[in-house]
Amino acid sequence: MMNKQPKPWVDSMLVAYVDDQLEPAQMAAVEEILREDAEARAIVGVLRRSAGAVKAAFDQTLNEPVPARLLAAIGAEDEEAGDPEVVPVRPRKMRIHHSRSMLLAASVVGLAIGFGAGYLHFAPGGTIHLAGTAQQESATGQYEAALYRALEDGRPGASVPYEDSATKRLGAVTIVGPVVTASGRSCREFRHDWTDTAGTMAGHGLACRSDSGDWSILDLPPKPAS
Amino acid sequence: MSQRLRAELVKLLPRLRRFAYGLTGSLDEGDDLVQGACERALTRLSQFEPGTRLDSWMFRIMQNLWIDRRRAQRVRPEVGLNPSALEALAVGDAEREMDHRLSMATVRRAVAELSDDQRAVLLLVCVEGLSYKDAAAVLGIPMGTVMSRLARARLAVGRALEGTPTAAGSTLKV
Repeated sequence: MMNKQPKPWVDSMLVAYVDDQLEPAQMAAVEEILREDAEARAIVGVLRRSAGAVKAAFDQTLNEPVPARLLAAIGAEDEEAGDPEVVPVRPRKMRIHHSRSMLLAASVVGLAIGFGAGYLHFAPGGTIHLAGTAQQESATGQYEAALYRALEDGRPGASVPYEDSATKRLGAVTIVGPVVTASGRSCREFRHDWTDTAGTMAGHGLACRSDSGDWSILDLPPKPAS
Repeated sequence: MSQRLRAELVKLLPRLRRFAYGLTGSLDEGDDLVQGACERALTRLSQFEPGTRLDSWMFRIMQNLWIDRRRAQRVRPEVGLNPSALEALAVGDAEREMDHRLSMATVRRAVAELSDDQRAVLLLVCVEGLSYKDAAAVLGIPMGTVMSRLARARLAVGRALEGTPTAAGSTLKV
């Protein structure tokens, strides 16, 4: 182990020492080196600290609820269904809702949120049921359906058009791209363009997937498109 | 039998998500990877050898799937760890919490900047707690390679934590 090189150790030996993966004799040999070599001691310190930091940086995911779509992928919700080869790809129900207090985004922009709560339930077979107060929902309903589909697609540039005959509105939702917040939440930025009798407008917003696969939406106030 | 494996798989999900988060750098993309890996695993349940570690088996499927996806993408995407987004959104907490989050973000960014090979070894050993031997088996590489990749990855993360530049391929030994 001791040779003519200026250093009697290599990094991979030190990392194995830190991780307690060496034979006892090798451990002892490294300890002897460490007693005499300040540089090796410093590197051991870095190797030790970085291991703890890396673990801490990703451990938070363990405390989060597992998204329903993953349970569905394993078929955990369909134990009684009888056919173990049928694997549902998506959870049976998804809903999309607007939040007035989406913590991160709201604190960044400090702006009021466009409209109130409305729920869309996505039932098996792809039919969409609107729930909640009906009247102002029809205009947002088409938009939400388009937004949901765009978010589920998720690719930057993915665009879903919609048409609302009641309000004579033609619009489209386009995914701008992914955003990961400091807390590790996974969000997407989207753009919403539409034209109706009042003119052409452009808005944008952030959508973050919550625990159970739902999307929390923050819409920023739209501006007339130039 | 397969029902029992499914139940074990469900129990593993939090760890699979953690590993996928580390591999992809994004919770969302990570969940896509977990979902894809679970679907792949379910079509191959008969290939799983009873008595061996289900977690190692899943990690191997995930790593292979991730490499496949990365190759299919050709151009590496800027995995969601946009520094300005991280900093802009890290608000609303006490400063101590903020510092903590920023250092976590720094670590995640450093991990995202590693090579695929180094990242996988680092996550398996430091986050998932696999022995060098098990990590070598998951990745199909010799133990010595595990050690050298792990050392390089840990030193790169260490440099990022200390705020020194993390230029790729800088003065590393071994």
